[in-house]
Amino acid sequence: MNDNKTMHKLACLLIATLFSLHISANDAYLTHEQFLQKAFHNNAAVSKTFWLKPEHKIQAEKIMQHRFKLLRVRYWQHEQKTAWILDEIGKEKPITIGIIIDNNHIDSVDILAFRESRGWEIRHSFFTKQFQGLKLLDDHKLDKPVDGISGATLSVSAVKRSAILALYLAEQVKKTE
Amino acid sequence: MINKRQLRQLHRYIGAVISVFIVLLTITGILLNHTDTFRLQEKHLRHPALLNWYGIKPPDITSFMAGNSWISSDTETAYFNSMAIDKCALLTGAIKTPQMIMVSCDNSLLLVTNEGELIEVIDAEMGLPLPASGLSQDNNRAYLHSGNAFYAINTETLAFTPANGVSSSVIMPVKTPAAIAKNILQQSSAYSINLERVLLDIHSGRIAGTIGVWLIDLAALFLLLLAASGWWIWLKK
Repeated sequence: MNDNKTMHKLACLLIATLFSLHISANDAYLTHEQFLQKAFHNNAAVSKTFWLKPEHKIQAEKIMQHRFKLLRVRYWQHEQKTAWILDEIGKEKPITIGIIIDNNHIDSVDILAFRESRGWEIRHSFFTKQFQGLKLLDDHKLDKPVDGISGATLSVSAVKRSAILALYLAEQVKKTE
Repeated sequence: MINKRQLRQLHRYIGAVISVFIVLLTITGILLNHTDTFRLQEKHLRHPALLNWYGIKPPDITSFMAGNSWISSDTETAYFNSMAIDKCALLTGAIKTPQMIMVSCDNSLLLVTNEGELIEVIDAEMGLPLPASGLSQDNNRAYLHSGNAFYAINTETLAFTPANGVSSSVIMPVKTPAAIAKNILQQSSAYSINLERVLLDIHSGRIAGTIGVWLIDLAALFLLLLAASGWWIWLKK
């Protein structure tokens, strides 16, 4: 009887392991469409582009700590809420990060796709939830600290930089309205 | 049975033999431990002898003319003349419109200014039909070719509308001028190897193939022997 129970537990463990392997091998967690649905529910958001002036580009490069290639960034808007999908490299490959900003505060952060071999823990809510409600300080830092994850330092840093950039861009969009 | 004098001699010989390996393993090990700090992955080595050792051959460069500018790809990156724009493994077309230059890669569409600055990257998630097999231009309108169909491109709304009766054919590649090909090869990551890879291979011995790996294994065993003989000598003192 006990043997049967042990076998059953082992089988469950094996299935769970195989399932988790399958999840981690699949790098896309959320499509753009799913992310936008989550951001705006059934409200029709408008797709817009924000053109970066030289001063914006300088700030974007300061925030991202490397050359910012793009001249315009696409975002989606409904009333005060904007959604940004940014690609940022953690170690080698880009992480696709979806950030929703509501009235200069972060509403949520989601990892849409993760392509690196290490650091995928950042997609879990125990990490992304820390960004909820954060806003940008004058020196382009988040107003509250975000705890890192051991072994995922570069991925954590990539998400933080992207969150700051989204807050900065949302602020600039608001100024132009 | 080996006596104390012989053991000391053996310890000395083993130490002398593997000292070279210890230096090699220590230096490469410390550097590899700080890969991110030293940005080893971003340091590209291009010495012909090293590339030849790894069997890395110059990549095929594909080019298109867009207005007066050359758009090329080295199987990894797209270039505006000789300036890197963004990732592009398979360049399938490039055209100049009144507003910008469009560059189609197999899975993305790069929008570039007339000066070669990247405006935006459009991919399948943003509605790009795949594979993006080429570009065409008809009466100043840009069309993307995918599968057997043409799609009119609206870069503002990101609409790719199926278009019938497109009279012009897909733009074809042209021969890359030698000067541009040379400039691209000098900066191409496809024709280089990063320092982290080389250090990893030196550390593991793989740089010298299977023999190198065995040699490092042997050095590791000698290190073990050195530690054991050292302890033995100390305990017997």
